[in-house]
Amino acid sequence: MSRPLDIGIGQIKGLLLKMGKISVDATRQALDGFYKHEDNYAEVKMWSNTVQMLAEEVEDRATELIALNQPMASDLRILKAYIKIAYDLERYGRYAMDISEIRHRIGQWSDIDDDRLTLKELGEAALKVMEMSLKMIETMDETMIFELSKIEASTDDMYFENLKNLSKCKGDPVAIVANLLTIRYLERLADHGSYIAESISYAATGKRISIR
Amino acid sequence: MSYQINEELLRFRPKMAQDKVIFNDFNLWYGEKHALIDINIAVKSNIVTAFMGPSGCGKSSLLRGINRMNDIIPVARSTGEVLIDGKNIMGSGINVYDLRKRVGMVFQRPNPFPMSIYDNIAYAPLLHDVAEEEELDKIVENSLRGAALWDEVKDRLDDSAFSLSGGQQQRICIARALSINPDIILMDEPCSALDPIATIKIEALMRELKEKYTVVLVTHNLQQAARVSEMTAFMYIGEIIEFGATRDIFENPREELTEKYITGRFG
Repeated sequence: MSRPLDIGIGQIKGLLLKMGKISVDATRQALDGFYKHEDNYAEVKMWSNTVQMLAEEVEDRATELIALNQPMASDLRILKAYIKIAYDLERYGRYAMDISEIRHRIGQWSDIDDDRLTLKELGEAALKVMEMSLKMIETMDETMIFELSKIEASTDDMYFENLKNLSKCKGDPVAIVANLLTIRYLERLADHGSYIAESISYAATGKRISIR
Repeated sequence: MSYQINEELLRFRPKMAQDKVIFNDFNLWYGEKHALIDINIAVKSNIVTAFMGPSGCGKSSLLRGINRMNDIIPVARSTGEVLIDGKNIMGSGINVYDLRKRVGMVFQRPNPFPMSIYDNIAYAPLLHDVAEEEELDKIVENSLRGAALWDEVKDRLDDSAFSLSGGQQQRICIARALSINPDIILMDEPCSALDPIATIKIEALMRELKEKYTVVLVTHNLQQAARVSEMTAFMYIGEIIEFGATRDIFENPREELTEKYITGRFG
């Protein structure tokens, strides 16, 4: 027989996975718009706002579950983790919106012809971290944190490498600014992926580990 | 400025407190029933220690081991040691009446005596000859203050204790326990018959009492144990399954049985 608490926790998990799916799709869409010089800000912003609304719903439901059921041990850890994860997923949506906003705010630019820049690879790595973090929410498999942390570390390396190369770049200043902002947002997206992994690890094991 | 947060600092560290009560290989039988099995724990001084577990697990029996209340059950027998401040109270030559002066007890249901508020508190000091009559007024006032009841009853000390609410009656019982100046206060589900408001007052009182006394609490209410205690023991069928810092027990228990019990997945 399911406990009422199990039903509530399951519903919140469903909301988180929905937030995650929307966020990953929105990030992919924002990057696609960036690469193709298309202004899709309005649509990505709408998805970001949807994620934000769902984050508030998660917070409300988790708070209500805690107040009414007074959970302990793994139940309490899961709800604490879910509240934190809702914030991280909200940030996913916000960074997707920030990426799409660059083209919307600063207009067109000429692409930089420099083989040293690896923005697309960084984008794929950040998306991989995001997808893995969602898989961890779905499966509660804390062992995935190690693989995730390796990819996340590679996003840090790529970020600093691109930062260095962009600082020496002689291309269109608008393009440099646009690339600079985007690599920063991608690095932050991957950071939030690692925070989600840490939260799942804590919920599953009760041990706090940091991969930052 | 650089600083480090040591997680240990954020948690209660039982090693810092002194052992007040130590159970060494303590076993208890009621006739053929082995009610407590190889109990080995140390209750620290000046904190609240909670015993929790399902009905019949032995938590009240363990509590009664601290003031030898099990002695009044004809079929009860025990082996092992219970040390208070290093002295084995199970040994020969122990005067149980003297022991119970040091170990006050509060029960599940408020059980004031059928007498005035004043006499409820003065009764034990007179019985145990721990006070002259002229000292009684001070003892009564101090005990009622200690139980956070003085301001509510100071103008009606001659009223019957039965005229008080359930929560006030329970605090009368706590004041009664304090009147003989014990070291240890045992509380056997002290809030189970009280409403939420009275429960909050008793819980607040427990936090104050531990400044002067060692408090041992038996409770079915997990949240109450989490709210008021520093150390918690989880018991099951006469055994201590897990004993540790309350925050660890409720957030990340080591034993699967503890996890199942406190998350309601038991049985």
